[in-house]
Amino acid sequence: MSELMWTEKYRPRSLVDMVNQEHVVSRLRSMLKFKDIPHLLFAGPPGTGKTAAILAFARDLYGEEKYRESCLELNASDSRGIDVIRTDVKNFARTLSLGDVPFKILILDEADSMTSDAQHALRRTMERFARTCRFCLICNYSGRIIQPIQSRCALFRFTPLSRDDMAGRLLYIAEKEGLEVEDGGIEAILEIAGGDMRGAINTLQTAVAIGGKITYDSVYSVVGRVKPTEASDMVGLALNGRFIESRKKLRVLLIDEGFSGTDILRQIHRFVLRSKLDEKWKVKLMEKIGEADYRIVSGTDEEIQLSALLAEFDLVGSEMGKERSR
Amino acid sequence: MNSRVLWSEKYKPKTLRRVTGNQEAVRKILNWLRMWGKEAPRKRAVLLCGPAGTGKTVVVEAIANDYGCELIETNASDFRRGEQIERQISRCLGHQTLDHGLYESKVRGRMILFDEVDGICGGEDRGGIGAIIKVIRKADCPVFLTVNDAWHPKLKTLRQHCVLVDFHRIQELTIVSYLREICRAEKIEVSEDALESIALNADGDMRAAVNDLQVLAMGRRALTANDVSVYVRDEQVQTFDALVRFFTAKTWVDAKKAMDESTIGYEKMMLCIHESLPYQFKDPEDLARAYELLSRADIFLRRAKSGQAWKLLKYVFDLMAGIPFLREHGYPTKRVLFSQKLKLMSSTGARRRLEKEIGLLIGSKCHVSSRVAIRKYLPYLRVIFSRNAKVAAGLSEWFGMRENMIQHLAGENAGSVLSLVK
Repeated sequence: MSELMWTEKYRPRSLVDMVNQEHVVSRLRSMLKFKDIPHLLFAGPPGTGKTAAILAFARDLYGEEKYRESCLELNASDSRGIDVIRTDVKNFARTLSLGDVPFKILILDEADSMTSDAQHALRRTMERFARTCRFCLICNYSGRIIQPIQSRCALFRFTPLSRDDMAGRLLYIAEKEGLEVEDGGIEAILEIAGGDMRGAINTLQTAVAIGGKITYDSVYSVVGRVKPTEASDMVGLALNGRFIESRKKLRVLLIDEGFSGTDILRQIHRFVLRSKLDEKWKVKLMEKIGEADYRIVSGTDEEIQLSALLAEFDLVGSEMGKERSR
Repeated sequence: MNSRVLWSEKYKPKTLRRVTGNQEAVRKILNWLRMWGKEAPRKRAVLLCGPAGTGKTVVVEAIANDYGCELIETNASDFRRGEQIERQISRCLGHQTLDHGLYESKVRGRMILFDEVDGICGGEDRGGIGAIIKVIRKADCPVFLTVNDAWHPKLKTLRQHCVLVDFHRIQELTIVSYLREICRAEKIEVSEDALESIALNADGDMRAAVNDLQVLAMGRRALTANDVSVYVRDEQVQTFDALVRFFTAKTWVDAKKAMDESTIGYEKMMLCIHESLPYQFKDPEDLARAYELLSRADIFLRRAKSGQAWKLLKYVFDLMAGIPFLREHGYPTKRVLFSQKLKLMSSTGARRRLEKEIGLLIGSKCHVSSRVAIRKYLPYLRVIFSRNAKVAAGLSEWFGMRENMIQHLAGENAGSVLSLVK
């Protein structure tokens, strides 16, 4: 019995295995041909293959045996401070790589969680070691990366995976694992994951673990358990004029459940699209959602910005009430 | 043990090796000091700028100590009129006038520190800045200056003579580990939660954190998170007053004054205003408008912080101070609230720590940070662990989880999962 997370078991081993992101993959392939890369900046939503792409690239570049020693993965949000990064980088980059590739690759995940000072310090580190070490910075929002770093990197934008590509990969995994799949099951996963491959695979594995086969119901029972607090509850409260309770739910989502502001916004967005609200209110709310998204992406306080958005929902709720009573 | 000794003095790092935090700034200063070779560098002074309690003075004193230099120091408590500065510094140099003592005799082994330079204002300290600039221009030894806000218009000419070095708020973890050392030395038993609450409350100010710890530990052998939260409440009372004055302000200037006078920093003040808004603005239209302005103030705060454009900070205050005047319905109330963030963060401390550990474990296997692991993997694992012991046991072996982690994830199902492990 050997269990492991399927996100790892089915991680692409080579660029050839990459699903979707063709524009990214084709550029990486041409770099592979010349065995040279600039510093890279990968930006895109969670679960779209950013880490997978660079790991697959490194495997293809250095070969299966050597890629581990030629490639260092650091996480900006766990490595405390730029000093750790600098020391690690120094130790890593000091020794030259042995093979025919004259540089090593340092992967810095969640680079957008670094303060701008840390980023400025990183910029110097990048320059100092550029000869022996190429950096691949991974982030959700390129806007949170300071300009001087952006201008030193080739930017790759990752987009949410298409439904067809996701379905294909999920069915492939199901076949390898010998799973029983009903039509509604995959459909339900796609619905929930919204272009996030990691979320989709985790849902698949969990549904199998608790239900044995993949059906619409087994998938939704996972979702029911995984997300006890829903952004839709929170929005509903705001629309009904219960702002304070609604803000409490927001805190649960942010602090207890650890959702990011963008996760929550995506849920709110979906809620509004599917709601039975009058079109004119939908448009109004969409504009506010977009504005909040923009502000959060530029690095403002998630709790304040989302509360401000909930206040807009509260306002729309009261305006709808006035209109009805007229 | 003499309890009258301030711990912030007693445990002040005496050498650079003991200084934690702001390593980037320290490195910058040391690089500049290395330029003091045969002759003085083009800029003979460093301006250390940053909020209180971030170690500006500590670093300078530690450097003087490490280099075995004599530190000639003036700070805000001294008079700093032009002639007094010259007189004082010349006295330190052996009763010679400045022009013959310091500048021409090439004295080595000395450093000059002007502490809290932004404390020098017109009136009393007339000519002070001019005198400092004179000292810098001719100085034959390193000159250090500390300020909170380097971008004060008054310091414009002074800035041109200095290398600017930014000091930042000390990270929470750094504060916690420092406090832990002090507790060990003072033989105080303290819970991790308590230290975290103190650090969180200090908001990056190491001195405030150490002082708080000392006050809290007075007469106690053990310190719990609960003791800390009672203490923090005192500070809240002052904040409440400031908030009430803020929301009832008649003029824009009054609102700004209320913010200025509060003892908590502007970022915490912003959170408190955020906390209180729905209680102050009952009308949805007013509330939405007030939040929009707060949100815009937050944008300016971000701009100021990210670009080091501290000039922009004034707009944060300007915008926040406008909030009380957006009310078109109803009246201000006495209902103001302290930020709940601190409370929430400390009440869930132990659980978050364990989850963070699990997150790190997941992260090492699944190429993600602990933060992402907690969000993207933990909820699924919790379902698997509570429903399918066999898969759970296999996964916990693959991850290398400890027993308490399995218990946390599996809940009631923990027994059957643990029986399958090994």
